[in-house]
Amino acid sequence: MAMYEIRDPIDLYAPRQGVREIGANLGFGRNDCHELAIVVSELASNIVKYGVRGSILMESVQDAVRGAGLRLVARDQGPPFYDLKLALLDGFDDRGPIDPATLLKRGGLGTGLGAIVRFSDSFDVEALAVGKAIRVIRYRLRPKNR
Amino acid sequence: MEEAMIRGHVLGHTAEFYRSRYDQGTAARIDGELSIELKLMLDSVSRAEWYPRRHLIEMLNAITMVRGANEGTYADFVRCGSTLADTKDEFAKMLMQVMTPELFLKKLHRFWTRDHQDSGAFELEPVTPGDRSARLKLRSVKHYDHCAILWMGFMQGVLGQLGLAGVSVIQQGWSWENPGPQDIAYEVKWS
Amino acid sequence: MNVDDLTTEQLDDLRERVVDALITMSEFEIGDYSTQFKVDFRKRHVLNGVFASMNEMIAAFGAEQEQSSAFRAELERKLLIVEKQRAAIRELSTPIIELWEGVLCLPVVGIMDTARSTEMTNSLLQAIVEKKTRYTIIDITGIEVMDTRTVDHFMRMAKSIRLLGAECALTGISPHIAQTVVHMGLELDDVVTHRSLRDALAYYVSRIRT
Repeated sequence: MAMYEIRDPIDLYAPRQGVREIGANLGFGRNDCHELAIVVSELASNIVKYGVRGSILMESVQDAVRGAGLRLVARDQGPPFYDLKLALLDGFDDRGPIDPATLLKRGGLGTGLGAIVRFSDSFDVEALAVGKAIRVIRYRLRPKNR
Repeated sequence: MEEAMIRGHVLGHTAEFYRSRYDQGTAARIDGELSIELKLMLDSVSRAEWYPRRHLIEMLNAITMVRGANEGTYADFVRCGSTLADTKDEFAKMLMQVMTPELFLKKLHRFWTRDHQDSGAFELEPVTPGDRSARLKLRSVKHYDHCAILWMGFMQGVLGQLGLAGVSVIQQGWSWENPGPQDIAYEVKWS
Repeated sequence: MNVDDLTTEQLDDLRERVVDALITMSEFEIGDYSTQFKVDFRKRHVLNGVFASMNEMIAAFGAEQEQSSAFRAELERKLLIVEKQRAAIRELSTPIIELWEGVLCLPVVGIMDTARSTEMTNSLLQAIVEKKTRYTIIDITGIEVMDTRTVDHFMRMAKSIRLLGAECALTGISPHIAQTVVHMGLELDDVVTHRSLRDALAYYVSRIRT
């Protein structure tokens, strides 16, 4: 449906706008589109910071049980996650807790992946020949207990 | 087989024709019948570039759908073709000063190729000088709906600009039921 | 060449060549710069030389057009980048406005992701120190949602502002964010909230006057 090249900080703007439009077209509510924009923003920021360069693909999906949704695939050419479980923890990167000095230098809170997971319904990482692909899906109708 | 193409200026001219000839409501309805692909393309059509010929056919059929398959629409198609011959530039004006009807019909195939490349062709039958009439065929234009009338109008338009009186162009092959036959036969007369 | 000296046949031939040439020029006029006059070098014809020269002119013109259309395309590409940059600057950066001495205003627009929240904090804290700010108004009217960790960070930022001796007002909190704050059980001691930027300004104007 839409593909965005990500290399520099300025490339964050277009996919953030784009996902809000695509989300609205797919029937996502305004707040949902806003959350999707945050997901896209965090994915794109990570590509810029750690992924050298990459892309974000946005496409609609249809699940037999969960219905209509939007899939975001963030590809980058950077290194894989050393330990994904650690990386997903707030305040941690893929090696362990991030000390305040490093956090300050990198910018951000160390909670980007956490935000992505909190705002989506499925999350997985695939190692590619070069780089990796992070797949995130969010369905229009989310289970009530979130 | 490669898709038949047409020059942008013909598309632009046709769109401008129906948008200026009909009232805003009718023009909007015709626009509404067009595919999104065509609508977007019309916004940025370039005169010299080549576009799929089906776009022109789509426009002509949209006009037919909205205005009806009747005498009025027929007359509009003729007019659309004849206004295509309007002299908008110096070279065209010079052409009208230099051409004779025989020469025009002899060169008609070039006008066609200018706008259609290799798809379809005009064939002129041998003309007896002084006859003030000619027969020609427009060949290999199957499915090119209504082109017969458009180009009938074009011929009328040019011959009119040559200062001739009593210009008549009769076509055989097109009908509302069969708007895109394989060949069209024309008989042209002037006085 | 005197036209009167030509035979009818020669005149007709000349006329035909001129018509051919003019039809070629009509292609040129439409915008097809690849068109060329037919020059028959086998037969010696008075117009051959003229046509050959015109072909050179058309080719040169066509090349120039191509160059200028490439130039135009490049210009449009650059303008698009500038436009993107302008739009992005509005959304990506955080403009800190000193409304009057001692009062800073931060109107936040767009998406508040983690990168932006820290960038905003750093800029704001630095500005507060530099300008000896007493009141900071952060307007987040455009921010509908924030991740829980980011909301948490916001509150800690408010605390930092208090530590620097300034007061922190937050305006334009969306219902969704308000819910998140309550849900997280966050303390709002360090933050003064107002419904709108206008309200906050009115409040601080009266405070400064007294």
